[in-house]
Amino acid sequence: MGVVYLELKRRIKLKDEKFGVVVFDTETEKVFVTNQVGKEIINKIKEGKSIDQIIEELSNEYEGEKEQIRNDVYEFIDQLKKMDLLKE
Amino acid sequence: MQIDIQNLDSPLFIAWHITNRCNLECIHCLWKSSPTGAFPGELTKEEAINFAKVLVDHSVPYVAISGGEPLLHPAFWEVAEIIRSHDVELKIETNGQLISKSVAKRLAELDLRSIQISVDGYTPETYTKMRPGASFEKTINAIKYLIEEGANVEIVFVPAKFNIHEAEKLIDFAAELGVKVFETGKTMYLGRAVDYWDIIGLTDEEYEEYKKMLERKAKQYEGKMRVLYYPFDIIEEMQVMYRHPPASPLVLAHGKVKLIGSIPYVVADIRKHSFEEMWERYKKGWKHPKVAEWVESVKSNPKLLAKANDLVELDLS
Ligand SMILES: C[S@@+](CC[C@H](N)C(=O)[O-])C[C@H]1O[C@@H](n2cnc3c(N)ncnc32)[C@H](O)[C@@H]1O
Repeated sequence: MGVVYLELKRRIKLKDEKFGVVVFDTETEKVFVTNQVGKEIINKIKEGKSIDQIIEELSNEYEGEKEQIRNDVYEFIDQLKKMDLLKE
Repeated sequence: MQIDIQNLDSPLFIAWHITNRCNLECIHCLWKSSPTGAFPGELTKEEAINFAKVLVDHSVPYVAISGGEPLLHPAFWEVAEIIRSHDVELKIETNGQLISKSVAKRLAELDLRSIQISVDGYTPETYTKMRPGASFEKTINAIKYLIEEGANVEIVFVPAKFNIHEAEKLIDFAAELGVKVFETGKTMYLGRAVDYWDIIGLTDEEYEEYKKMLERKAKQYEGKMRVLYYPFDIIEEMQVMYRHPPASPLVLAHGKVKLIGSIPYVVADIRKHSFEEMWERYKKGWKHPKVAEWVESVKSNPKLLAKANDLVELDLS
């Protein structure tokens, strides 16, 4: 598998709240809540970083097994897919 | 997913009814808008611009501007430009009558989340029955110009006894034109629609048929155009929203803030309250016993809805 890049739908807004980060797809007017790491992943996707690059950067920033971080990132990406927030 | 608004520091969405003045006088208009229908004391150009600045300063993610006809408001362009230059998503609801080629270009340049155009018929005769004096041709041209300029166009179709048979043809036409979303739902028993209910109101059976047709069309145009049917009538919507209040205050042209259109209570006034106060009052408003009472009474007596536009200040002290 080559380098994988993701693209987010265009009209997605993030909003910090006390309880987490609200992800608001203004196109479908649907919301879900994530945490600061989720927000970071979304921002890195927006910056055009590949999945591997995102995993690498998060591993440098946060403690923990790289494998675990990889799983978490993929899990979050699955969630984005389920919420239909990624472009095909 | 539902978010409990009581936990939110600020709203996710502002529905801004920027003027009640309109170049049309539609028979179904929930606001009874008309050329002379401006509310007394509507926000001036300067006040509207200031409010747009307040919205972007508070990082509201998404704003929808409606009316009346928003393009008639003297601050329309400045407001839209302020909102978009701060990367706040913006939807404009319009009848399209004023959208010439050059206006379409200017709107497209704003890179709007969407521009929603009302088309309540597939023929000029039917369309003008709902929208007397309007030009069907102008509206269709508006859609064409906007799409040529690359704008995201949505069509809203409000069903009535005399236009529902044209909905399917309009959907096909919309898809052909490159419209992104075709949206419809149950017509609200509110405003001028109340006076014309005998020629507007559809039966449950008619709505069921309509829904089936829409489901078929949604499948047909999957991936090309979304065909959406808003699933609630105005009373069901009120109950759903009462249980899960939306994070979206409704700001009226004179600055008074309501919970939603179908509840008469005013919870704040942007001339008197700061944005933070407005939001706190909005949240408090949803929990006020009078609101619960209204929702209950309308359930047993839907005709009461006709009074939802008679604003009543809610005592939130
Ligand atoms: C009030 S208008 C304001 C914007 C603009 N003047 C227009 O005609 O689109 C916004 C939308 O509400 C719809 N509308 C008006 N009265 C309604 C009613 N009684 N029930 C459902 N929708 C209604 C209109 O058809 C239009 O699509």
